Amino acid sequence: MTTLEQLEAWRSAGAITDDQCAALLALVRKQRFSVHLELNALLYLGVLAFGAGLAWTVREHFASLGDAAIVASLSVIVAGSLSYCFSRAAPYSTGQVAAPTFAFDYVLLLGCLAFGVDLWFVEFRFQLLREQWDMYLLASAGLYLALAYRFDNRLVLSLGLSTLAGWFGVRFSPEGFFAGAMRRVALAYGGSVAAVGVWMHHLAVKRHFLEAYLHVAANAALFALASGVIAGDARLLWLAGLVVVAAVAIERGVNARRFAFVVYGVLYAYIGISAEITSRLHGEMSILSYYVISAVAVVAGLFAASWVVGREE
Amino acid sequence: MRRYSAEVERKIRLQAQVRDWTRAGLLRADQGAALRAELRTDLRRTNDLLRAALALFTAIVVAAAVFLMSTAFEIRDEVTTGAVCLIAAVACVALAEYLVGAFQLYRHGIEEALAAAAVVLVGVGVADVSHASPFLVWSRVWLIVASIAACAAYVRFGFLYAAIGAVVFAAFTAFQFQLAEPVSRTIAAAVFGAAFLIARTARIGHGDEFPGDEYATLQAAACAGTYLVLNVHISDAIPWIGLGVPSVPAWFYWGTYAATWLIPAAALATAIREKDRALLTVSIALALCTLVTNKPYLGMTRQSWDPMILGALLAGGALALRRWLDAGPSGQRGGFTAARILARDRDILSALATASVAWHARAHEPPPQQPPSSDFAGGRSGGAGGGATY
Repeated sequence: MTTLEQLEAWRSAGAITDDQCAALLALVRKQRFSVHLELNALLYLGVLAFGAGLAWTVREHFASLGDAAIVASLSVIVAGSLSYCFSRAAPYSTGQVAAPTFAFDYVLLLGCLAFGVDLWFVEFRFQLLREQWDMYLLASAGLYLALAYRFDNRLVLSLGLSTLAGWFGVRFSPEGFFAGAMRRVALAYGGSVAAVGVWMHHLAVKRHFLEAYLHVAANAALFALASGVIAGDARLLWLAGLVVVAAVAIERGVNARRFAFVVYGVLYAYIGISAEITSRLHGEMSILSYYVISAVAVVAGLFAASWVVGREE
Repeated sequence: MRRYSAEVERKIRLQAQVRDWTRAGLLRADQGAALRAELRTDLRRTNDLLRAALALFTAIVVAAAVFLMSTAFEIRDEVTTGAVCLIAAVACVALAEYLVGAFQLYRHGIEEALAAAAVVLVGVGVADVSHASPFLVWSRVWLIVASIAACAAYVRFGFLYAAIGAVVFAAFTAFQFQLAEPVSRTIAAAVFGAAFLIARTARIGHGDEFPGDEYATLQAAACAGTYLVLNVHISDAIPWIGLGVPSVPAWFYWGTYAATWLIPAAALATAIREKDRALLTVSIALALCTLVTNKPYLGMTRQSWDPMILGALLAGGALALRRWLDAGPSGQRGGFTAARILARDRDILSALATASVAWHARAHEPPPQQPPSSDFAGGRSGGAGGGATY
């Protein structure tokens, strides 16, 4: 039976109303075809490309453009974007607020990107803070997070969290994490982000932001702990931490049916535990046997989890 | 031949649609639950993330088991290694069949990884057993055998990525014959083109109903493949693939330049006419690649403001299109609407926003320690530039 026939059958049986059937038929026959996602993707790519071009142009041509022209242009973009957002935004609410216009979220993102380039340029040219240049990161992260909450903007929230990571010294690349001191910084960052996310959730302020906080926090903390097991000193301590955090991620993920956290926990814990065990094994046979047995155990565990809690109808 | 009946495949797709319609408020929750119950099958599916994790760890099991066999029996020669791979491939297929039969698995990750492993292993096995050497011949045999095996995996289990893999393997065989670059690329494009025509013919026959939806994806993938092998500057648009710009004759160079404009344009026109989402997504992505590779094709130097122009073009185009669609009767034109209908779109955008932490993080580089002298400090701005150096 085709979808159209099935809809007609449901309508005849009274399972759906005539109006519902008509609306669904229009979708199935593509008489109503939404390009919402495609337009959003184009707008987002456009803003990112514009921001990247802005940064590149400032870096390459600051000498010919002149400091005043650059600072003024960037400031105009920032002011224009913020003025657009403040003039059109709905009053602040602690709950979820829909963007008032299609371009709203992206205009705010553009303003924030231009602000970042502006700050970078000011420090690059005038070296106001010199060794403490990273205070710019803290200030801009604070501004981005405030704007994200004010305008309920997840893109800017992510920008704020990544800028905060920059201030903490965390780089989202393996090289960064495997550098000794970076691990502790990443762990502190992950813990702070998780704490702030949970705290805001308890305060009932933008509760829908919690998952974004937890994704970032879980990855930063688990990656740091796993890298500590692989290349750190006091590896058993790192391993104990990894097992505890991974267990919490898995348990919370299963309970809340947020399986991304289950996968994070399993994956990072497997990497860390495998690194520790294989470093103590000798000979190819024992190492390969370990991988066969351990991976079978993980598959069995995940299969059981998928059977009990992860079933899709 | 297929492990799952067409009726079951249709039910699964309709179930997903009913879920989307319920979340979009087009059906009441109780209606949605009742209709989904009516569409329930005996097959067991799982969450996509658990599915991916299951596939990953199953692949680890297979790879470690094959290496363990080779190590345990001290297998060194090519033929015996090939035989082990062939035995392992048969075991993988048998286990996948057993799991699907015994546990009624459907897109559960485990059976998918086993089928994918079988494709890789049968290719290695045949190439090793047939003493294919040097490496170019070995890879040629591997690609041909893997292509056939992947095709079989699609026919048997309906794994769409296996069908795409089969076409990609077949097309890449053309690069294993040390032919001139234009010949290799033309043959590869012809393979993708043939796949496109086959998929398109089948798609037109079935429409959007299963298996027409699979053919639509295949058609879009084949279109992307044709474009990617013809665009000799593709590494300018996708730097991480690490390809250089090949040396090709002028006729081929300018022919491919024309193709980089014609393929996205034709695909976009077809996608709009047929309201084909897969082809629409691919054609937009290819059009972006064309815009990015246009200057390198024409031998023009890239300017720092090029991304700004591209960005303004994309954002301006999206906004103009949105306004134009909104201004139509009932906010739509020709059936196209800019309004969000399904909640799934919102979920995708939220996930994208969260994931954007990864690429935003790359922007926080410290400013260089020794800046060039400032206009203000040097007096270029005002004071007739008295203190500036040149």
